[in-house]
Amino acid sequence: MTNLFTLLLLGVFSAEGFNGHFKNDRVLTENLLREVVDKMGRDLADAYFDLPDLDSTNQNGRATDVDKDFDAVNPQTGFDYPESNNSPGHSPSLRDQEYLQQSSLWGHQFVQGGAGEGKQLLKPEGSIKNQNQVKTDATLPAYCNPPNPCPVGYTAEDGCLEDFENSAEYSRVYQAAQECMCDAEHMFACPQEPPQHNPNEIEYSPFLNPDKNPYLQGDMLPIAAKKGNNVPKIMALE
Amino acid sequence: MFHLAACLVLLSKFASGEVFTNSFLVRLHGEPGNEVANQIASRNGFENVGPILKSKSEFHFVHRALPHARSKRSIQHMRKLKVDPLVHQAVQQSGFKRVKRGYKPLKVENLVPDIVMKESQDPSDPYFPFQWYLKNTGQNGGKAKLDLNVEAAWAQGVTGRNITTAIMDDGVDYMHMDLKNNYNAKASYDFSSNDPHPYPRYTDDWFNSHGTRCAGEVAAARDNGVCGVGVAYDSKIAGIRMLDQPYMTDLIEANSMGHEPNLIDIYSASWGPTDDGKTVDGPRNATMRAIVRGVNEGRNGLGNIYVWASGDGGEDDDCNCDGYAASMWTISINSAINDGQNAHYDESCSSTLASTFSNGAKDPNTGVATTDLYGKCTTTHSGTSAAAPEAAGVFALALEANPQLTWRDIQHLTVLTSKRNSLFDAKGRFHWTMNGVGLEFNHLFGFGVLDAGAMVALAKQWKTVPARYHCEAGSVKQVTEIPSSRSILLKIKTNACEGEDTQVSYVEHVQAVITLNATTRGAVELFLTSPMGTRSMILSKRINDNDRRDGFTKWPFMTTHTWGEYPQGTWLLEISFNSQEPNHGFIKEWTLMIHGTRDPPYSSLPVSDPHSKLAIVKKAHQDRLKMK
Repeated sequence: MTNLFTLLLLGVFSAEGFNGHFKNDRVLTENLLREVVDKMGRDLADAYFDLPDLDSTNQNGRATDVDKDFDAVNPQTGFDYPESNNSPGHSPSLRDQEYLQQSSLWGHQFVQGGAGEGKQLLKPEGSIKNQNQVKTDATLPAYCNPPNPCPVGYTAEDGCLEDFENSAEYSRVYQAAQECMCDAEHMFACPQEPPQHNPNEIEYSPFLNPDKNPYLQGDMLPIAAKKGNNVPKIMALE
Repeated sequence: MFHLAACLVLLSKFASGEVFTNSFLVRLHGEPGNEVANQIASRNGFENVGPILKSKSEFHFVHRALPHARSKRSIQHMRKLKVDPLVHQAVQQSGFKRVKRGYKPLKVENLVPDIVMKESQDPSDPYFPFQWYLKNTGQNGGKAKLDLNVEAAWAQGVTGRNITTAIMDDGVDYMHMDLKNNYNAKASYDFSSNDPHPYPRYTDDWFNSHGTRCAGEVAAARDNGVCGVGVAYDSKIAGIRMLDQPYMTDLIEANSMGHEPNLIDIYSASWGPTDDGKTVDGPRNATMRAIVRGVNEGRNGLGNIYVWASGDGGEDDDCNCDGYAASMWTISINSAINDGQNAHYDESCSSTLASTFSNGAKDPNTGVATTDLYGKCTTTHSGTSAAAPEAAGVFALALEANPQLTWRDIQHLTVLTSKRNSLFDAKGRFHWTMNGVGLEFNHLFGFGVLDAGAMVALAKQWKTVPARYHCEAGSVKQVTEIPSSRSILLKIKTNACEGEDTQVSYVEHVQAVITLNATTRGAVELFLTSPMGTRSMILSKRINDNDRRDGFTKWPFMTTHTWGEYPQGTWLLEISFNSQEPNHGFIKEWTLMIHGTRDPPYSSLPVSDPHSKLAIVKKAHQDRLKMK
């Protein structure tokens, strides 16, 4: 494929070199060049949307390729539409010619600047020293971690709590032992200062280091839990 | 009468031709009377049942050695009678079909005549009497028999064994005595804390009880003296804790929806974009890929079932603006209350496939009774989020009845076995309408309320539907102004890719992919009318949506109302402003995507009940094939 492109391009350039001043030919070569570039653009786009591997999905002798739902996702709108595997460009949301390739940069961003950097004196008379600040997306806010009691058939070796009491009080005390963000929306009172040391018996033992939770990364989405809002809180039966 | 009944049952087994009974009409010479008839009967090996209409010459004979019904005439027995000198004429009676009028359609016994219905006893769990959505006896002002008909499914011996439903929510109290033994720890995960154990986080207001409540609806244990019972009480639940952090990311959603797709059969979700009546949002890139992967490859290739709550935005929102609920790959479920009205918080849209039950009646005891945090029970679980897990439980029953069902089979079964029952729009806006192949739908309830008994019965006989194709049926790309005070009509005439690789002859889902903008997006209403005349409201007015900048960009509005129809012909898109204020806007693009099968989907399925939806649609499809 690449060879073919090189040949085509060579052909285009040589044609340009020899026949540059003949108008007809110029139109022709420009069209050709545009086509080549378009083709390359499409290939780029396809590479980005890795379509599912057809052969690997054809199990149980059940299905032909065609009854699978193929997707491609419009990076701007994020909506879905199916796409036949035979004609990857044949879909209602053809992308524009300009194609923004996803950034190859990975990992967290650490940003410093403004009044948070270096040595600066604030206020007109310069009476206050600045504080250095680094902004980062590395640690998005997280609530306390709940306890992880052992499900049926699990033991402490699986990283869970064997000695556990299924009650609100137990969970409350367990979580109070952690240094974490207080959930002001759902806690009746939030302490001004986080506890300095464990005030109780229960030891907090995270399964994995919570600071390294990779799921707590990325852009926030406006998602709402659909919890019924019109039911009185009083339990009718008790 | 017994004979007649027996004949009718057997009749259904003879697909074609006449059926002959073991009854004979015998006319004798002269008027010899009943005594003589008895003698004639016994010397020829028959039994005289008696005179016909007190006649002295005509009698009803039966031959006990003959089966009640057979497909051939019994020539030998006929000859025996005919050569008797006293017999003038003998006619073997053929059986024919009669169906009771006013028969309740889709009774399980009719769908599968040979099902041995086990004697059923109510579960002994203390909260079962409050679970009106499982068995509505009219408690708390409800309507008797308006329920999920789960006892009919349990009576068929189906309780959800070996099926796992994942609750994507704020965690599950898997130490709860009613859930403990039905918990699938291997399939569970906690994405909010990144560990394998999705136990809920404590807050003073017990906010994180939602997942536990949903889990109990699906798989709370039976007869253990704790709380109530789940729809599929022998099935497993997995917890996926993913709602409990101060924000949401594409990564959490995608990983949740793609978690252990071969261990998890059904994913139940009761969340989505904000239901504020002005948001238009849906799954992002990674999440969309996860859903498609689940549908194509999950359950070892059969496809995962994604059940979605249609939303609590009330009448001012439209769930077609929620890209999760509106997706073809999710089954979006709305809710009705205990007397058949829609709930006041119900969001409606044409992508809703069916309904289950939730709270909303005046009586506060009409919430959903289920398990609660820290080993407790509740009767006040609520919202459409309470409706989605009920559906997940019913699908778990169907999957136990037939583990080979694909994700599409489940949607077809839902369409064919959901019932109108006594569901109605409390405000009288949306009526039940029949689509082009005789399927009743309602904008609020989809094809009606799920019927677990009927779904399990049909699942047992099910034959996987034929291959699915995706046809881009046409598009209008001319920019057209939408005037303030009248509607405009766009047309797409299509042969639905006839003769191409992607030909669709029988519709499953239809998407209208639309780009438009308007001075008030929330005032725009869209109606899509199929060639068979079925009109779907694919976007309703949303009074709180005052967007004037973004509009819709290639947004896929989906409708399920045209299920089973033939897509060839002219589709109409009607665009108008529903507002007193002056508005204007432009529609820039409309692309019609039709998804469905080339071959008739139900041709290899037996029809047991002539009044069933299956029978109606199948007959419509057959008649059409004959006409061609």
